[in-house]
Amino acid sequence: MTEKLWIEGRTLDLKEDSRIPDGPIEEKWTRYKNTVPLVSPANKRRFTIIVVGSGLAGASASASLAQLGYNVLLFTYHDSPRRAHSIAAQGGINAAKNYQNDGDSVWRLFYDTMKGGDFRAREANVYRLAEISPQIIDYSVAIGVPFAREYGGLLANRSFGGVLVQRTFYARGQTGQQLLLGAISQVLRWWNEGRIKIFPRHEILDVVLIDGHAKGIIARDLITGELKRYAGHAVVLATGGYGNAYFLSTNAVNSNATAIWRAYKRGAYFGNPCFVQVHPTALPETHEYQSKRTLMSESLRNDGRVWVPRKKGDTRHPNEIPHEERWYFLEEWYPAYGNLVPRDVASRAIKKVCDMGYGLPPTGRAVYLDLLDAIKEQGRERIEAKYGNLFEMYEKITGESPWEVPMKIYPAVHYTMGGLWVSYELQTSIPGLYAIGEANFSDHGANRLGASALMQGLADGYYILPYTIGAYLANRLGEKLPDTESEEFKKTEQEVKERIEKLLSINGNTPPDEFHMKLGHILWDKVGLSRSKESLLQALQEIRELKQEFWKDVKVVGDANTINQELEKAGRIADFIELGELITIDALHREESCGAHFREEYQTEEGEPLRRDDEFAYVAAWEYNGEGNPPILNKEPLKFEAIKPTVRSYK
Amino acid sequence: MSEKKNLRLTLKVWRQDGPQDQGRFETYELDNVNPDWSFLEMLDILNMKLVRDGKEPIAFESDCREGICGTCGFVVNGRAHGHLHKTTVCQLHMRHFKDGETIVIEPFRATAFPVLKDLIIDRTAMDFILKRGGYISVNVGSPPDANTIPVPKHNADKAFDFATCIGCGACVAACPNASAALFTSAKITHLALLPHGHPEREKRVAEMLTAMEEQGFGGCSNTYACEVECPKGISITGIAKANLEYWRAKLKGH
Amino acid sequence: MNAKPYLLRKIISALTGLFLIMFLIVHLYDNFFLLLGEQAFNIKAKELLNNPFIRVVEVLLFISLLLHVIYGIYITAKNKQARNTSYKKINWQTPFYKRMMWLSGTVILLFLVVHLQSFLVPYRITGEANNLYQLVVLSFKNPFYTGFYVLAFIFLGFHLLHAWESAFQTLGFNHPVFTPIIKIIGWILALGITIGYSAIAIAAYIQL
Repeated sequence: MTEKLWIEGRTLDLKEDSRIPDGPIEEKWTRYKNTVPLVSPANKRRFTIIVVGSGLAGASASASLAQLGYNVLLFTYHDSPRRAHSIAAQGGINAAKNYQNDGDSVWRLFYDTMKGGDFRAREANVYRLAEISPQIIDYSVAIGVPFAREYGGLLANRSFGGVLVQRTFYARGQTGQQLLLGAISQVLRWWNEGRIKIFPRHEILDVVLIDGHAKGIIARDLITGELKRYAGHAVVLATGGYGNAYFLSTNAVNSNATAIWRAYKRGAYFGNPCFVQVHPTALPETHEYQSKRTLMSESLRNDGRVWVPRKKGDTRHPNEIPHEERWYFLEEWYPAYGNLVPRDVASRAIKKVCDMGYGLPPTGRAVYLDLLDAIKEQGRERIEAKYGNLFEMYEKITGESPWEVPMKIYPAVHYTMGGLWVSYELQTSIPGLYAIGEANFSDHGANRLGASALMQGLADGYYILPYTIGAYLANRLGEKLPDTESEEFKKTEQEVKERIEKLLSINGNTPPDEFHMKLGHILWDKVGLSRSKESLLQALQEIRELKQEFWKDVKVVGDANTINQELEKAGRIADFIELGELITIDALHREESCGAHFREEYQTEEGEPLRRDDEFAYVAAWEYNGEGNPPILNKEPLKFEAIKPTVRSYK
Repeated sequence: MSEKKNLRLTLKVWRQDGPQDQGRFETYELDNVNPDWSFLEMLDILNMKLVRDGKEPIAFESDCREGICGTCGFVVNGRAHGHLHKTTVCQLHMRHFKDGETIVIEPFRATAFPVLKDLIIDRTAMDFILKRGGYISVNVGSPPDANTIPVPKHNADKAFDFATCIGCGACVAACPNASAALFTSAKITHLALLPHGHPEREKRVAEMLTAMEEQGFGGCSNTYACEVECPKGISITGIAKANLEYWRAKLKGH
Repeated sequence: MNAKPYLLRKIISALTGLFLIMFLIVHLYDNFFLLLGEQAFNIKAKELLNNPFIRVVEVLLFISLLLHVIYGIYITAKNKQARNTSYKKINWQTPFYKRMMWLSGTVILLFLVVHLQSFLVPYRITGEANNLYQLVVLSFKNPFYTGFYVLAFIFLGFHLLHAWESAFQTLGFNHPVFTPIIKIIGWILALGITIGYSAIAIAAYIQL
């Protein structure tokens, strides 16, 4: 490929664009809160805010905004807001409470998160996140989240990958579910009070801009197929990550990037799309029609030991292989953290031993996660209390009991650190358009630590956005709700309609799912755990071909005026294909290895990632540049004032 | 895992174009069903086949496919979520079926759950119950430190056992009266077991049980069919606890 | 919409039901006098007739019965309304008798009509019969009458088997230790009532 893949853009200003407050890091958020313009209670009632997505971020934001007095319109494609995929988070939520007296602090949580993210996150955001974390626990407990407790009646903690303290709060293996149901309970409360309107089974297909500001959305009613226009004074996207671009991931089957991708195409910058986290402990793939990868919580690595037989292709039953013939490669390579190294490190290590030929038969793409030693040491009862439901789930899926045989695992795409670029105020580059939770790029740098996603989603929703959105709305007192009969709304709706009609009219031969599987294979093989210039260029070409094929040969049966799941899928997959291209370009341009982004050309002699701070200590904020044109690369420099980036070592 | 034999199955699936449509069964033959497929993956594959033949695929819902979101659910051979104990249909694998078997698939049925299309039903009625009190009215802001009120471990664990409800509607589907008593009581009991839920307990139980009635669910006649089919193993002791909460509220004049 | 929680219907059913169970036990005790011969039975009958306390309880009993029937119908109607479409194939995971309370209830009600018609009306209202013992023994000589009687009590047994345990649940009592005991008592009660009443009827048929 000789054409230009991207165009160099501008350097973002940390004050003007990123809106990072002045002062020492410990005081930034306080200073911000003290000086942010406020909207009076009477005026809040006159503002309408559209929230898209009802996961942890969307639900908590809706509840918190409604509590302040705003009118909230909450949209979800599910039949109920209770079903968002935050519900599947298993392990826990971090908070700098130091209940265990093991030396934890806000500073340590901040530092661990920065280091875990391989120093590719914005310092000020991360510190704020750590600072807010304890309040999330206080609030969640107050609204009835049944966290695990000690016999004395106080809260219990456990540890997670990448840290040396116990700061993770949990509710068995269903922490996400309990936190989400807690946040949703508050949504229902405000719904009952009339402050929130819920629109279930509504999928957002575009964002409406008026004079450059986000003022509404076009949604498709998934039951009647009707396109509807909704206006708001501001729009909040809380639509989660885009891991499903890889087809097989631990995301829910309907998780999609359409809303953020539409926003990108309307001018919102996309931050670090190539930072895609691959989770080390998911169940291996067993057959070609598998629809998803199921996660086994990282918490299992607290007591579980990862190993492969020292002899390649050893077909003995794992329980017959003596300890000395087992290779506990994580413990050997990373003695300090052992099995609890961060996710990117563990995933790469697993891939490495499998690539070396040590993977378990028959596929060669699996390693053991063994809790049998822990069961022997601690007794069945204690293990059962910690992981009972995970063991049950494993047995249901595989038909094998982890009480008797070590579990088999292999890495799977799990979380996307990248997302819409947002300022310190969580506002995208489109005024009035906010992105929160996994949908934004902000806090996890190039790799997210375990139990931090729940923390970030709730911090954004409960505590940050309700303040920062005031800064935007305070300048718009008296502004009327935009008219949905305006030209801008009509035009955007027309564009959405045309796209749907186009999808239905192609009438080719291939079901949308097959395109999705193909895209997934390209991305996983060439833009996955490790990438090289060569693999990326090849991926780019294949994705472009796939895109052409899609628009020629996709077969969408049924029509647009009823429930049509094929049509829903086709639209999402078309967006994933385009996003896949951007992921690849971003991976191609970032000529260093950091966190989840491992470029084979940039590694140390020991095979560890080689970060290049002198050239790449910035956030890539990609800007859409029209159909068929290379995207524009804007850069937000990462300034480290509080800490110094070091070589990340977990040895 | 791979040495298991592939299955040949006959599926009788409920097809219904819309809420007003009468609906009917349609029969599909499937060869080569891999025992490692999940039930929904089998339907995915059948759907891809249907699409290739230009036919409308079977509409069914699912999301997380890990048994936690509560989106999936239909009746398999007369059992909500199929015959496997404590399992949602997305976690049900084909290894639990026999070669040559005929499998009958129907949507969850209840007056409160109108069929929208094929196996998709409208379960909004459940949210209308939760809306009326399935929460603790505490504002985001500065609640006391999380460890201010100790909760006996036993109570916290029990509260969790009820909070684990995924709201899939299997209890309603399995109930001869289409009652949502198990679902409603799970929330009431979860919050009644925690000290944080006590200030609103009387109002909560009275309102939620009234809402259940208004939404068109039947009453509980203690057949306990719900408990058997609940994929999360929610216990009917919660219904007794909710009943007790109700009498308690009545005595206090609510 | 003016909906009232179903528990308000259920509690009336439960409380009247428990009261009716008490009556069943006392009635069974009285029935045993039949086995003691004509004189003993007739004296007992007169004794009961002249006991003012029994007369008051009798009124309560009729009210209870009436409420139990009315609410039984109401509950059933409400529950059927909530399940307006039936499954084409269903594999219930709950014993048949728990789903058939309306059926067993209807049979018992039919039986009661016959029962009152043949004993209470001639003995107490029209005064046609003076010797209750003779009236009863004569009735049981009819195999169809005794057959229907036994059948009704089998239905009653199933009705009770669910009713007893269910009443406690409705009242909010479910306890890890006591509920299993309640269940056992339920079985004893159901078997005791069915076998007790039926045995006396069969004894009357065979030899009295």
